[in-house]
Amino acid sequence: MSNLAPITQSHARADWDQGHHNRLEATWKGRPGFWGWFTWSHHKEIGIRYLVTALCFLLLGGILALVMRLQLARPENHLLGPDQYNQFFTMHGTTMMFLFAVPVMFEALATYFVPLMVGARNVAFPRLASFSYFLYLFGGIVLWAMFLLNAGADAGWFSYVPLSGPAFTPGHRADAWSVMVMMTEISAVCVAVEILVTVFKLRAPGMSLNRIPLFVWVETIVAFSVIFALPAVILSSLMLLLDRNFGTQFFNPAEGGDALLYQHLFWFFGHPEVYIVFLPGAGVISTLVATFSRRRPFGYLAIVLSTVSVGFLGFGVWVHHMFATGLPLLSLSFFTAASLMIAIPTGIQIFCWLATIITGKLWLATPMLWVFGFFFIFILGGLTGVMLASVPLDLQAHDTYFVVAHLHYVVIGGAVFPFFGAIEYWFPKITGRMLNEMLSSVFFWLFFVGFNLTFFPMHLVGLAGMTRRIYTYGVDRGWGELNYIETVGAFLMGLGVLFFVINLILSARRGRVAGDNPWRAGTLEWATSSPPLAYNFLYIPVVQERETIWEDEAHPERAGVVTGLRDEAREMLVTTVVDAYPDHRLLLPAPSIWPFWAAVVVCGTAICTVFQPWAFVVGSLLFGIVLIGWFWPSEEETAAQHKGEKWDNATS
Amino acid sequence: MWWATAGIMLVEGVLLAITVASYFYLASRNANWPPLDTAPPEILAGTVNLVLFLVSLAPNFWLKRVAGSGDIQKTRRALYVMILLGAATLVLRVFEFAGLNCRWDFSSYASISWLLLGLLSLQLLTDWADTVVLTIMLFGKHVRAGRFMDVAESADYWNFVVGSAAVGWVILYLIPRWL
Repeated sequence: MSNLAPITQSHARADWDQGHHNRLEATWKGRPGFWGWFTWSHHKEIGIRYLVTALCFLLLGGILALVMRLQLARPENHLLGPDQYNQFFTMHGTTMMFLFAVPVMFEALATYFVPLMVGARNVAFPRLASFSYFLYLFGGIVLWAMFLLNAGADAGWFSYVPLSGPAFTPGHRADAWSVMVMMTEISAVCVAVEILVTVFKLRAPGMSLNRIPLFVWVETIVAFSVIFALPAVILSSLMLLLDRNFGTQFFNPAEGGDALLYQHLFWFFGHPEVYIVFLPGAGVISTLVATFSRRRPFGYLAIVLSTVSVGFLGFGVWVHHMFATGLPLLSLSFFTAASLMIAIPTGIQIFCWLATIITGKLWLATPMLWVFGFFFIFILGGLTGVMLASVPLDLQAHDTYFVVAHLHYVVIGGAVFPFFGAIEYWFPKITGRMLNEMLSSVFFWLFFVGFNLTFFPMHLVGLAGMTRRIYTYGVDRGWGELNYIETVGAFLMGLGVLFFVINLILSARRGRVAGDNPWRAGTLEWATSSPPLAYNFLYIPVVQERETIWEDEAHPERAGVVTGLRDEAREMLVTTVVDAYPDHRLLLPAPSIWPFWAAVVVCGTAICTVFQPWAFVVGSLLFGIVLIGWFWPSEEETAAQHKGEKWDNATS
Repeated sequence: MWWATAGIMLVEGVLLAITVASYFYLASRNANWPPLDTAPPEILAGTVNLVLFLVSLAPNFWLKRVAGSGDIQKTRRALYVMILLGAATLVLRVFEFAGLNCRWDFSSYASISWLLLGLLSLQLLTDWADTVVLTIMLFGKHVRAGRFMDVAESADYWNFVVGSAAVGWVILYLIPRWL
């Protein structure tokens, strides 16, 4: 038995307790000041950092795209030379996939919202969250620094060998790419572990697995995908670095290596990667559809099982990115079948969403515009995906703009549209203010029309023979008109995004005050203030049903909160995996600057090792020292722990 | 904390599995594995190390039991044993690298063998360093109940390290002789 107050459930409505609030604020608030900023390890601050950084990368990647579109608007244009163009499309793809899509859809949204949605005060490993963020930030900075020095990666966003190998890409362009990939993907894996442990062990009491919000289910499944998929690209990037700088022969056929090993490793990561990007979008759609149809999602179990199926099947289709590499027929047939099969669970989800809307009371608020945009765009992308899954068609369309059209329809439709819908929906929660409705609508329509104007013609121009990654094309090709239209569309999208950025900045300062729950939604993040206070919930709620807020409104006599947790220490309640019964208390570590230094050391080691192998040894030693600092307990932590322990003299 | 250890084991396990898959993939692309001009690795150092790993499971099991009971003296003693055993395995690893009979840049066989052994050695080194730090933390004012839990989980992680080493032994020493 400990020295602390017992943990119980109180059925009284949780009234405001100023003393409790003051103590919780003092305990959970981040340290002030310049250096204090580097120590913050609360999930909301880390989530906002991920969001803002990812949005910056979105803008940078978008600017690259606009310049590329300007180059391609007319035949035989000279805005960009071939080397510059190679860097541009590589940087565009790399930035969008590695520095925007996964960080925003998974790391940002999950880090910010999963603890709130499960009723926790923080993520499971707050210092790891801080480390992950800084690792991601530094990886992105390294990549862009090289680009701005005209030494940017230029071998495509997947950096295939032998082009990116030592023979054909001298210098350190591809090394910067590999370093960035390793750092950002290690960062994502760390976040995945945090999310899994948060979801499995830190849920509010009563939130059994069949009561967790669909968004949380999706991020959990995505976290598993991240853990199983990302090591493949970490390994392939490591092998590329070793081949380029240390003379290894992984990909050199002359010495028994194989260039296709790189492709297998990359796409074993690459296909689950696109589901890692799409599934959170699907989770957002489930959330928005439920809230704006004023009913719980139709087919909760079906949606969960479909998401699990997509997660699994996503690992079995990677070779459909390699249909043109000369693989055996049996292999091609298998992967065609597997790729077609993924349409089934995806379709189930879509029908569940449609059923929710049809059987609910639709409220066409601005976030729902993005949902309908998603339906239109993503389904079109899915249709071309089913076409490309068929080998004979793929062999004709491979490396043409048809594939570019498909991938943008599914990625922008499946992730970016839901992401913008998520911003519309959750901006009030994060900032406490509503976005401007008019600016939001203008943004949506500019983006929707611009998107279709940009990418639909790419299907046609691709089938007419325009290949990918060419910096210009001849006048006699006849692709000029469609390319011109695509460029106009791209600038419409850019204009829309400009409205979006203006909207974000203006509304954050002067938007209409939102209140706790402006959308009258049902999930737990809306059960606290907007923005949430440092400690999230004054009292941890006890959950009786899925949409807790709606349930508490319908049955207020059953609403309950947890009492007995300390408010003078960073204490959280750990619950059991399946049924979320209270299990034990957990003391989180204090905010610390060590994670920041750890990220600095990792980044420095990675860069220096490219130039000087011994840097790895030195860097590893430094990293070891930093880790010791990270885990070394402070007096305060030890005292807080001691207070909760009872020691038998025989063992002390 | 158990979940953190389980998370690390899962991530490292996946990385190891993918490395092993890459090993077999490269083997499948070569008529001779190892290449004709490369002898299979010297089996002595690796096998002695494997035996050492397997033998270490016994004191490791004891460590977990005494850490779970909260007996600080016995826990410290068990940790000393594990540190010594760990140091011995690290020394033998150096001989294993030398016994690979090829430099990492000779061929894809050499590269993947060095990579596999290198990743396993890095895992071993980091766990050994972690064990040393945990031992230091069992002295002085930072001793608390959670330390014993950390030591117990570290013991679980050592089981994983031994398992990985066993898999590595089969891949590095037996496969070149079987294929």
